Amino acid sequence: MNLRASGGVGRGERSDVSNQDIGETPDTSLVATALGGDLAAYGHLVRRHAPMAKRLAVVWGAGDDAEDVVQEAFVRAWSALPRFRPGEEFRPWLLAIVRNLTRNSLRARGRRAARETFAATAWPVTDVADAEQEAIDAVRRDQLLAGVRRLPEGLREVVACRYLLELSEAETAAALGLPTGTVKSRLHRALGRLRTEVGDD
Amino acid sequence: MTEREPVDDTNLAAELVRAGRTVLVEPPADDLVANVLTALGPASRRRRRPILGWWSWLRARRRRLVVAMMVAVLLVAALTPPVRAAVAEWLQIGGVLIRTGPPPATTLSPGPRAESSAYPAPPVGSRELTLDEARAAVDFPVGVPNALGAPDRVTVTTDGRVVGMDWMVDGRPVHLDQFDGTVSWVFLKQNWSIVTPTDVDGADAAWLAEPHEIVYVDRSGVERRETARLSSPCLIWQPLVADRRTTARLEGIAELVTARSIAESLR
Repeated sequence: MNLRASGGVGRGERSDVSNQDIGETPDTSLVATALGGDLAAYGHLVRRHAPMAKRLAVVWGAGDDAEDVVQEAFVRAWSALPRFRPGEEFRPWLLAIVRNLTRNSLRARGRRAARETFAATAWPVTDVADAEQEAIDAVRRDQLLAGVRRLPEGLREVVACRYLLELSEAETAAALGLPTGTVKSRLHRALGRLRTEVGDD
Repeated sequence: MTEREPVDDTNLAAELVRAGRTVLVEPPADDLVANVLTALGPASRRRRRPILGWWSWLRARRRRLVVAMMVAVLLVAALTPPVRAAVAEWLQIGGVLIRTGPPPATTLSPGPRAESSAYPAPPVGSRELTLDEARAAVDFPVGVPNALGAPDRVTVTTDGRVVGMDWMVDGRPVHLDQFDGTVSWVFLKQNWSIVTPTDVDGADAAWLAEPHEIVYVDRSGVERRETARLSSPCLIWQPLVADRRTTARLEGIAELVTARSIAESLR
């Protein structure tokens, strides 16, 4: 299930973590504390954002290496934390690192092998019904996901961020390093292509 | 192309979201945080391994991961004492987050040690089942401590991560959680100040004598805030049930020696 962690752009000045319930401490406070060398606060950021990071790695084709990629991403994010600009949101900034590492790991496998693997291997899906979600016809779902996988990379990435990972437009733009306008137009083109290929419901 | 496109975009987008929600991603391993913090900790800086090439380095690390024991533990040892005192320490095992440190601003509901003789409320989203139903509902083996006999109540969280059992012992509630998760004892003993190391059946165990907060955590890593409550002293150990190591947490027994004998009766 895709659940958004508590973010908090602009919500936290550097606050005293000990006086707050850590579960509700906004990312900005944890980042500020972590920048002071506080591994505790960073550990909490890791816990909070690891599920989404892993989700992105899997959707980007990391497969069995997703755990390793996520772990390495958090290690690198720690070193990169001083470059994190106040006002930036932590999650898309982190996801950009996860994306880069996933792409590196696929490149390390060899370009052709990576492309073939990505196209051929479907994402693992579950058909277990979750009462909280609307059902989707399995055949239709398979068509849609296969259609997404066939999109050219630039369109596929915006669709993956915006719809499969349910990031906002702004988060999508930040995670992919694109202007929001580009995200919007690519989404529109991607949906147009999918509609042509897969057809309307 | 008709001018209906915006509406079609919305419908198709909604379908993609629903499709995306069926993509199954296993939650990150319990040892992820520990591994990250270890890699960042002072010890590792002295031991920087030569990078052979990004890919082979990654493969080598994964072999170590497979062998390692799993838990997410705060590496408090890296902090200076004044900072450590200010930071809430936390330990996550499977579906339960255990926290110490300054109590949060909100008032927590009391645990089994309270005056009321009621069981602690089960996590929201868990169901009460019979023991047989509970065993069928989860994919790890669940034991019962013979010393306490059959539980008065059995609950299972909806994501199947935690099986809870409750008894009344001399009018006081006793609670047992069993999880599909493991614990890194090295981290636990070195880094968590409230732990009294002990053993159960000759294997490492931990006694948490001071009250601490527990919160249930679902598979997405989201803390279910509504489940936050104070826990009385508890014993954490790793029973071997049907040849599989799980983790158990027994709460509501005041003396360690009694808790250990109950733990050792788990079958």
